Amino acid sequence: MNQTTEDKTLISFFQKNKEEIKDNGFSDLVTKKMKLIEEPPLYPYILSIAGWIALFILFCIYRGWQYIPHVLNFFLVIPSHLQKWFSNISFHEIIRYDSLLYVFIVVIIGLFLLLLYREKYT
Amino acid sequence: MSKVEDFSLIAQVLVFGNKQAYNQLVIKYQSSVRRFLLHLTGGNEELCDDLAQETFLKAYINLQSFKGMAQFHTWLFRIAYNLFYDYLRKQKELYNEEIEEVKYASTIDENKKYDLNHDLKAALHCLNPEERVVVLLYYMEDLSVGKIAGITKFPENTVKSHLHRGRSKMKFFLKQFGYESDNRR
Repeated sequence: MNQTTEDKTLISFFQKNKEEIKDNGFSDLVTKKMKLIEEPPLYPYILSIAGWIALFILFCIYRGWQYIPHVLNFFLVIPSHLQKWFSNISFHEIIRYDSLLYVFIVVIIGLFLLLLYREKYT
Repeated sequence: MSKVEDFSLIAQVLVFGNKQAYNQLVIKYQSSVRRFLLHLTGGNEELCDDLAQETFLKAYINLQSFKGMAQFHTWLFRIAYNLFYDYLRKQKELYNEEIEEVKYASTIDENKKYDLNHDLKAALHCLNPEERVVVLLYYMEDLSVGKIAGITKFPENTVKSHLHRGRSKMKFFLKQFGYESDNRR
């Protein structure tokens, strides 16, 4: 594009106003955020797990400790359900394994929260 | 620093995960990216810094997709421009900006103590976002029409027409406030 007189006037006007913006810790802030993306802190996960355990303990204190075996059983049955899952069971059978469904729900919610967390920091 | 040095720094980031090399790129280009965004956002420093940070982080995350067809700073401007447009879309600022323009125009007569820098910002506010982007990249960042077309994804003729309209508007605005061809009141 040929430079007209107007062009030159504007170029000179812009050059006079071309201020250098000082870093003022900007690059350090970017570096910190880069680290946060690459190594997200673990404390939200730890806090979340601790929260659930605390909630369960409070529940047990309120309703009685007899629920502990049920919870343990819930986790203990997972391997057997998974085994059945991989040995060609029908869809109706899967539905019957309700505890397995709970696990899926928990996993899906967990993944969803993880995605939300990643989204926030990336 | 040349294009080759930029590529060398990018290679260090990609191959060795050298964050320090990327930091050097940030230090080098932060001023131009922030200045571009500062004028685009009408002098909103907080918003400008947020968008600039996001620009550099996005560039870092997607550094592998940088093919080296354009210069690194052109690529940065493209990301900054896209982020600014995303922001505008989210905030529906296109509507609000028209109101802001009126505010600027009405207050200028009342106060004669505006300095050159303020006049430039006010003049840029007369332009619509597309014209402002093109004018800023052309006059402030000294980019060619071809590069601006690459950043904005406008055809070159559209860039030229935005530039022409922007130039006319700015010239009219600056003349109204006593600027002649030697830029003095």
